[in-house]
Amino acid sequence: MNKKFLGVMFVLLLAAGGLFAAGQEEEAAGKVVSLKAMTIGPGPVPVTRAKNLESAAEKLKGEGVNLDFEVTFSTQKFEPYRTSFSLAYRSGSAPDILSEDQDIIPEYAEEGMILPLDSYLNTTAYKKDYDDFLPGLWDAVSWKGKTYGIPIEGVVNCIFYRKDVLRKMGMSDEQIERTFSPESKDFTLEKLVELAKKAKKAGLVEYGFTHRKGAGDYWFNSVMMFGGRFVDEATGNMIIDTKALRKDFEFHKMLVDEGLLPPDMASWDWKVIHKYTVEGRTLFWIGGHSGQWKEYQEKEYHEKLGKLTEEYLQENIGIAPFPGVGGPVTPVKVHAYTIVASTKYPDISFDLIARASSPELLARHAITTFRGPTRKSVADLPDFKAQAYLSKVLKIMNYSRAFPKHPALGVYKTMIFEAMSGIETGRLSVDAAVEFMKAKAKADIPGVIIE
Amino acid sequence: MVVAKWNKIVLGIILLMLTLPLLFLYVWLIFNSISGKPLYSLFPDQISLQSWIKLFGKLPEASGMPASVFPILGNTVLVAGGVMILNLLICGLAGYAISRLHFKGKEMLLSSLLVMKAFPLLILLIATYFVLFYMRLLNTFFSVILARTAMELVMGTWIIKGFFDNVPKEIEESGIIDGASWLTLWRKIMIPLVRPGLFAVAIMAFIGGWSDFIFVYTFIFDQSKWTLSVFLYSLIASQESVDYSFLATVSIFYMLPTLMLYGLAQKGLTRGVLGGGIK
Amino acid sequence: MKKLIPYFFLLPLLLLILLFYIIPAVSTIYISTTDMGRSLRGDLVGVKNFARMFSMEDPVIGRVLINTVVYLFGALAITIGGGLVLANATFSLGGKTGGFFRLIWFLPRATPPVVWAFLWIWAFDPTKFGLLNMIFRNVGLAERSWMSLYPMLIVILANGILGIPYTMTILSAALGNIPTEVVEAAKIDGASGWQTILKIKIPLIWWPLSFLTIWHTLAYLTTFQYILMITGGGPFYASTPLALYTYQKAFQNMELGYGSALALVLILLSVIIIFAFRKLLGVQRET
Repeated sequence: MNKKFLGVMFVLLLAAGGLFAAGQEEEAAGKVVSLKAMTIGPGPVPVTRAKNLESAAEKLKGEGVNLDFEVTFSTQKFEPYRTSFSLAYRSGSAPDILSEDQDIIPEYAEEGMILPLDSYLNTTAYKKDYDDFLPGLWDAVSWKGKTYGIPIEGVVNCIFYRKDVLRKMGMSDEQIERTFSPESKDFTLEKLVELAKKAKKAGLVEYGFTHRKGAGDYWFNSVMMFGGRFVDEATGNMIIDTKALRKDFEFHKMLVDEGLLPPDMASWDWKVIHKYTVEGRTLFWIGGHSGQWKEYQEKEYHEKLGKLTEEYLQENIGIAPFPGVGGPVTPVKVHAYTIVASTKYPDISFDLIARASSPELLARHAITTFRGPTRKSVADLPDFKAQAYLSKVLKIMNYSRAFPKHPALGVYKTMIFEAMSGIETGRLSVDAAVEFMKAKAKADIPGVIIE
Repeated sequence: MVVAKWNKIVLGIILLMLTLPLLFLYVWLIFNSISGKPLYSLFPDQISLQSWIKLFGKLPEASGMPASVFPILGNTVLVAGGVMILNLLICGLAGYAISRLHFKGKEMLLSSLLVMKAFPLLILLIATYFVLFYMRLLNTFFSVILARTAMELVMGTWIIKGFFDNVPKEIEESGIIDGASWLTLWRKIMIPLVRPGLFAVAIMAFIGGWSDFIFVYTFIFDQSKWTLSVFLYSLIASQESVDYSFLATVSIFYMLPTLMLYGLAQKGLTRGVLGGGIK
Repeated sequence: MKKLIPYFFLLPLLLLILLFYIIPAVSTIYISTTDMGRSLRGDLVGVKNFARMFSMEDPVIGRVLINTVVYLFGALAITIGGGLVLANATFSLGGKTGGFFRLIWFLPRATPPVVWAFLWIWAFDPTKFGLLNMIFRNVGLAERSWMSLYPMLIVILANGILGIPYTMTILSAALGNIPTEVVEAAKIDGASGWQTILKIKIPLIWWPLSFLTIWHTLAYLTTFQYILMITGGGPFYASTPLALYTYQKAFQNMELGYGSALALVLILLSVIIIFAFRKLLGVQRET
């Protein structure tokens, strides 16, 4: 028989076999502790999530741990990041430490993919640190009574308003300050709408409000604004709060009908959305979070000015919480370090993330990203104090409201966005949208409660 | 005769009206790319290679975007080349066997190939993802290369088989008499005779791999393994300020090789496509 | 030993067919009976996924099915109708002029999918940089938000036009095969241009015409990548056909179980169409 031919086939089979076996090499179990971590932006800004871990690893090495540490930082979106983590976990090549937003914690906790940290957090050695975290944040990273992560940042959702437009409407700096102060009686949704109408009528802006596109956290903010509930405390099941949803839908429909909100926001380009904010073509940008302050300084959204300076932003843009039914609301989404269940070294992993969330490192993170700090003592550090904007962020964090927690939250968020895009483009009436929410929730979310 | 001429002119005008929007779409793509900034009026008010310089230099920093286009170009060539080589090998071998050799189950294979030719492989995407996971191939170039090859190979085998069918029996028989082995016969005598067919298959496979979007988009998670298609799509869907002039430039850069290959192989391809589909 | 030789030649082909056709097809059935999610692990749930689909418990499925039909017929009409018109016109023009038009109409085929999608996204961009808005502004009309006004029309056009090069090429070839005497004879009998097309030419190219129709029916039933890129299926499911819905359920919501159940419907539909028209699809074997 032909040897060459057999040779070719053999090589082919070998190649096929090689493909199957292309797994990952087994870690040599020596004295060296090797840890891997996966962190995510998304986007290049929050790279300190990875750098802080590296700094902490250096510290641990200084303490005599023979550590071999490797961290990856993904600037991509969450979806591919989560998929690659899940599949790496399934194939036994998961990292030891994972940085994630709070919203995935219930899902990973239910699947047993991340470790509860209570046995470490409740020690006397950690007590002082534990109490230093802002209230409510530990709750944000817990699920069914167990805590799964150390909060390293709060993404502070807020309203950006244009001071320059308000000044042109005849308001003094003092008046503006007073109107948008969360303590003021004047700070209501009605007042915002009234201002928007006035600005639009005077031809100072193209729109009163702009919000984000796609299924993002804004859709929770707006339901929270109308006092909506998401999760039933007793059963842990999801709630579809039709009353709040209806108000939310009616509010957006009213904005579109009055010409205060573009009807096709869902198909706007991101760069255009940001452009409208930085160029003052809209009075209120309500779809964002405090970290965008940084983005406006680093990216050329403004057609004439390009990157904006801190001075320009301070002069022309202010931030405020959302006006809610029972007072202002600042929805805060927590980003946390978690420990992956498959790790061989849970103790050292915890030591590492505890050191990576020291006040000094968290201050560094807050200063480079303009997102909210998670520990009280951060506010006392001189570097942090030097940032005028960050103290404003801290101020509105007084009205923090934790994001809801449920594995089906992503599905719910998408549903609200879909219904809203139907309403805003005039394809769906408010009634039909509420019916859609009910029916789809029943079909897609197990155990859902319709209120 | 005069009437016929007028008819032709009217027909030409109607055809031109139908064709112009399509043509302008491409013309404006070029205008946009050479104006250096997003086109705001119908004609560029300046000619600038700014966008092209941007493409080959350090890419504008944006979330999740790579720093340079060259690694992405490399990945794209790797995927397209992989699909091409694998396809040539598989189709060259199988096309020969189906056309020339006798084996059990040939009828069944022929009719299955017929069914598979029309079967849209994309609807198996979910299960393919599942299978690739168990082969530990997700997030590797192999996943895309193999899946894309599977998509192209039915047509390819069919085309090569057609070419082998046209090779006179005598040539093969003379080889057998000379005492050449089966493999030598295939490699030294038969393969050279179907070169035009192989050429068409190679180009079709290369273009298939080059322009693949959905497999790369679904099976690859790491930005370092992106190909030009996912890169361009990510630019379009990106959150950052990317201008249309730059997008048009990337599009042209990405499209040029396929256009050239189509031009190069037009005759063979038409023959291949027609031969593979219908006569 | 000699008997085995053909199988060595066929081995790589059979291996890939096994890995990418047969195993996935069987797996789809399995996955559709589970609640598999992101981590590719799932418990058996029986026919729950199918119940969810067929009982219309999923409130958007009805809309999605209607979209599927509208999209299918819309795109088919453009592909077949456009291809027929262009093939006839370029054929009648003949020579270099006809060849020139055919060359331009071949461009979409040679354009990579993402670039093709980009052309449409850019043409209908709602901002002032969108191509159509640019034209509208230049003739003094108001800019519009095309994507949210006519999402279905846009995706039908984008996909329908993409099919034209293929139909045009094949139909031109078929028209070229019609003996000139037949057409001449009809003209002498006093048939007008339209009559020759309808009564003489179309019946003579009936075979390739039906082949193309089936081919594109299968294609439009199952492809979704252009819609995914151009409108993403929105706003509010206005442009989501079943194939896209399947993809989104599976890879955006990571509901692989339910996604597979939806995919199974498409697979069955495709297989039925293929078997019903196997003869027609296999024209080549007959000739």
